This record gives sequence, structure tokens and C-alpha cells, in this order.
Amino acid sequence: MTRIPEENPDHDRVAAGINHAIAYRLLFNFLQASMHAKEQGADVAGLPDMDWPTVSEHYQKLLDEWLPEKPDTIRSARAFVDLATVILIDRQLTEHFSIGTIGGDEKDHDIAVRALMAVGTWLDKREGIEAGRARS
Amino acid sequence: MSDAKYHDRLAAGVYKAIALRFYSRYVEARQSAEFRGGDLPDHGRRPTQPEADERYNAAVEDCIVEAPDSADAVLALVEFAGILAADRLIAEITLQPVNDERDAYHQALALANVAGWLNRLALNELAEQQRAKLGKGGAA
Repeated sequence: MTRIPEENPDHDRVAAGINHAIAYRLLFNFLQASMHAKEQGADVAGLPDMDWPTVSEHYQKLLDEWLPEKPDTIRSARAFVDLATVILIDRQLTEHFSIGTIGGDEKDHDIAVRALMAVGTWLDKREGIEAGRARS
Repeated sequence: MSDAKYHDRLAAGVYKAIALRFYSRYVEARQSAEFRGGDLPDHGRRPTQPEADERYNAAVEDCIVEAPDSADAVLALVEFAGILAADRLIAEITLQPVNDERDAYHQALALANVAGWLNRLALNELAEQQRAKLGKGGAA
């Protein structure tokens, strides 16, 4: 799924994996809205299609693969923060739309907390390094 | 179109616009993942952000000026306005560009149309009350 990056300074395996999870999450919302449109009689033939269980499964797989990795760069920390934020806002978004989120409230909360705690741990480490530098 | 459960042209158009708004965000997230070295080859060609946005905007322009004449359509318009507000937060956090003026314009149009529909209902209700009052007066 997520290819191992080449030697490109912009590439980051963990950030890519987490961003893919975010993409699947947003794809799920799109599919929900698309289904509403279809039910009301819209022609959605030209819109991308994928079944929910597949999207949900891919999303979960990506989280299982990349969430335990923990961020070790600024960009991966950023991706973790983005994931937590998207999860938190997604709840508001789907409430407006009277649908559930891809993972359900309890799971979402757990993932958002884990993502933010991982960033916290990374920041602690960075702080330690900076303090060491300042002392030397 | 034939297998649709409900058939409300305006609601259908608004939900399609909402779907394309979500799709636009999906395209951005996929683009971010690609930039970091990932790829989703089984998802087909990724449209560019301007392409996705243009498609969304066309869907909105196609339906937003129409006055609703059903509760379904009104609900869709209210959801659309709410989703734009929540979606703005996502874009702000993920540092994706937001077309504030366009969103505000679309929200205003959607809510004005909802207000127009509610106003018509209120006027009908008032007329009915007046008729009932006159009826009572005539009977007395």
C-alpha cells in the first residue's frame, strides 16, 4: 500500500502512512454523501466508487501499521496532529450530516488520544535534546 | 437515476455537492501522502486539486440558486451550510487553501433559501390561523 520512499528529502514513511489513513477517512465521508445524493435521485455514475467495508478495512490497516510507529520527524509529528484534528472535527462534520464516523466515537477518541500522546512523547524527547544542547 | 429511493432534485444536487466537497479533501490528503512518498495505486489517477475543486464548484452552482420546495431539500441545504463551516476548520488545520468568500456566498445563498421556505410556511400558518379565527367568528 504505502511504498517505501526513495531518497527524497520530502519523503517520510510514517507521515505518508498517516496521511493515507486521513485520505481513507475523508473518502468514507465522500461515499456517505454520495450515497445520500444517489438516494435522492442524483446521477453519481461519474463519481468514484468503492465499497465502505473496503475503505473501512484499509483505514484500520493503515492505523494498525503506522500509529504504533510513533513520530520521529517534524513532518511525521505533523501528520499525527493532522490525524487527531481531522478525527475531532470529523465528528462535528458527520453530526451535521446525521451520519456516523468511519471508526465510531469510542475508537475515534482512542486513536486521537494515542496520536496526540505520541506527539507529546516526541516533543519530550526533543525538549531533552534541546536542553542537553543548551547545557553543553 | 431510476433506482433512487426518494427523488428530490434539489436535495440530490446538494448532496452531490457535499460529496464532491469531501472528495476534494480526500484528493488533498492523497496528494499530501504522495508528497511524503506514499501511493495508492489501486485508487486510479488522482485528480489535481483545481480539477476536484472545479467539479465541486460546478455542482454547487448547479443547485444553490434554486428555491427549495420540500423539507428534504431544506435539510440538505442546512447540512450543506453546516458542513462548510466544519470543513473550514479541517482546511485551516491541514493548511489547505480555503476560498472564504466563495464559501460564505454559498452558505448565505443556502441559508437565504432555507429562510425563504420557512417564511412561506410561517405565512401559511398565519393565514390558516386567521381563517380559523374568522371561521369561529362566523360560527358564533
